[in-house]
Amino acid sequence: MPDFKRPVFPSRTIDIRKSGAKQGVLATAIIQHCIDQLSTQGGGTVLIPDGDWFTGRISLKSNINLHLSGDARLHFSGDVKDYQPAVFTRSEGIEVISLGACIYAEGQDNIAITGKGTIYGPKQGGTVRSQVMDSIVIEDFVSYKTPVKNRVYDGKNGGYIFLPMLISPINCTRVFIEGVSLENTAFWNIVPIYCDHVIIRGVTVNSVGIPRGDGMDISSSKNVLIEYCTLSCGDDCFTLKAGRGEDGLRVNIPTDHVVIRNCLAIKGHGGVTCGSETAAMIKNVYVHNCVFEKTNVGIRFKTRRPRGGGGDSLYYENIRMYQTGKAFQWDMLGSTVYVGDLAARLPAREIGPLTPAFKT
Amino acid sequence: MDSADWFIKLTAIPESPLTNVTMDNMQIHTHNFFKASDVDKFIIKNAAISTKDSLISLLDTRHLLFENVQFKVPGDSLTVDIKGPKSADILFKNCEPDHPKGWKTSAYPVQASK
Repeated sequence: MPDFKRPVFPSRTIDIRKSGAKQGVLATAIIQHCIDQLSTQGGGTVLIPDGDWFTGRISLKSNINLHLSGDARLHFSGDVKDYQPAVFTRSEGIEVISLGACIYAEGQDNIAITGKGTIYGPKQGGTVRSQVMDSIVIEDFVSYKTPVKNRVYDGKNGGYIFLPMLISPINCTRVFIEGVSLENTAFWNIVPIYCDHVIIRGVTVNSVGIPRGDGMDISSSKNVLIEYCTLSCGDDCFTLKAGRGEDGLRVNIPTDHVVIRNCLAIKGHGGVTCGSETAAMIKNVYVHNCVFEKTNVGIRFKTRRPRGGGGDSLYYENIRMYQTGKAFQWDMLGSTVYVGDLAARLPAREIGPLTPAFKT
Repeated sequence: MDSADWFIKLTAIPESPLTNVTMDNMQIHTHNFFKASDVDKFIIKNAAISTKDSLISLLDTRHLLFENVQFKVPGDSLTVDIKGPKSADILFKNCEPDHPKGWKTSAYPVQASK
C-alpha cells in the first residue's frame, strides 16, 4: 500500500453564491464553471454553502476540492437532460457511454469531495428513474463485441439510460472523499472505476429500500483505503468488483490492494462483498476492525460461472457481527434468472477463460 | 459473532471448488451451522462455536479440518452429513466433542491404523 496522505489544495476558494448560484434554482452551469475556472488557475476549493442547492451532473477537475458546508444540501436533478451529453462510464462491470454519475470525473488527478453536508441523488419521479434499462441483464443488452464508442445510451428521445451513480470518478488518481452523507441514490453510491490511490473516510450512506443501492463499489481500482464509514444500504455495503464476464476480461483491470478498517455496516445485503463482477480478479484485500449489524450476510463472496476471474488473498480480521443472516456466504452459482442453466450445479462444465475461482 | 442465522453457507462450483480458506480465532453464536458444496481445503481452528442446530452438510468437500474447536451444540453431539464422491479427508483434531455422532474416529473416511 502507498503511504496515504491527506491531499493538499491551493488555498483559493470560490463560493458558488458569488458566481450567481441561488438556492432552489438549478445551478449546474454555475457550479461547473466554478470547477473549471478554479482548475484552470491551478486548483482550490469550490464551496457549497449552507442551504439547498440544485444541480445536474457536475464533473470534478484536477486539484479541485468540492466542499459542502455542514448544513449544505446538494440535490441532484431527476431529469435525464441534466446528465447529457453522455460520458464514458461502466455500469455493472460493462463499459458504456451513458449518464455517468451525479458527481463525475474522468482522467483527473487530486480531486476531493469533503465537508459535512449531504448529497441527494436524482429526484424521485423524473426521467432518470423511468428511462433506465432494467428489463434484461446488462450483458444480454450490451454485447461485449460492440465497440465501446457505439454503446451510447444517452436517453435522448426517451431512449434507455444506465442509472447514474452518485459519485463515480473513472481513470482518476488521488481521489479523496471525506465526511459527506449520501441519500436517495438511484444506483450504487460511491464507485471509483480504474482509479489509483483512493481514500474514502468518514462517509455516511443511507440507501435503505433502494434496489441496487450499494454503499460503495471499488471497481477495478487499486491502492484504496476506506475507514470510519457507516453504511445502511438497499443492497451490498462495502463492495469490491473487477468487471463483468467477457467485457471485464477485455478490460482486464483488477481491484488490488484495498484496506477497509474501522467501519460499520448497519444494514444491507452484504457487509463486505466480493463480486459478483469478478472478471479481472479481486486481490490483496484486508478488512479489519469492522462491525456488521443487521446485514443479510456478513462476509460475502459472489460470482457466477460466466463472470470470470475471482478472488485471491482476501483477509478479514477482528470482525464483529450482530443479528446477521449468514455470517459467511460463498455463492458462486447464482440463479437461473441471471445465468440460466449455468446456475445448475451439475453437470460440471469445462474450465474456460470465464470460469471464476475464489481462493485464500 | 454475537448472533446469526447461519455460520457458513457455501456454494462453490464443481469444476472450480473453493480452495484454501482458513478461519482462526473465532467466537461464533449462530442458529444453523455449516452447509458447503465443492470445497477443497478449508480449515477452522481455535474457535468456540455455539449453534442450535448441530448439522454439518457437506457435498463434494475434501480436506476439511476442524482443529482446536469447542462445539457447544445440543446434546454435545455433532451430526455430519457427507455426500458426493469427492468428499474425503475430513478431520476433527483436538475438538470437543472429539468426533461427530456415529463416527468411530475423528476422521472421514476412517483412517487405517498404523
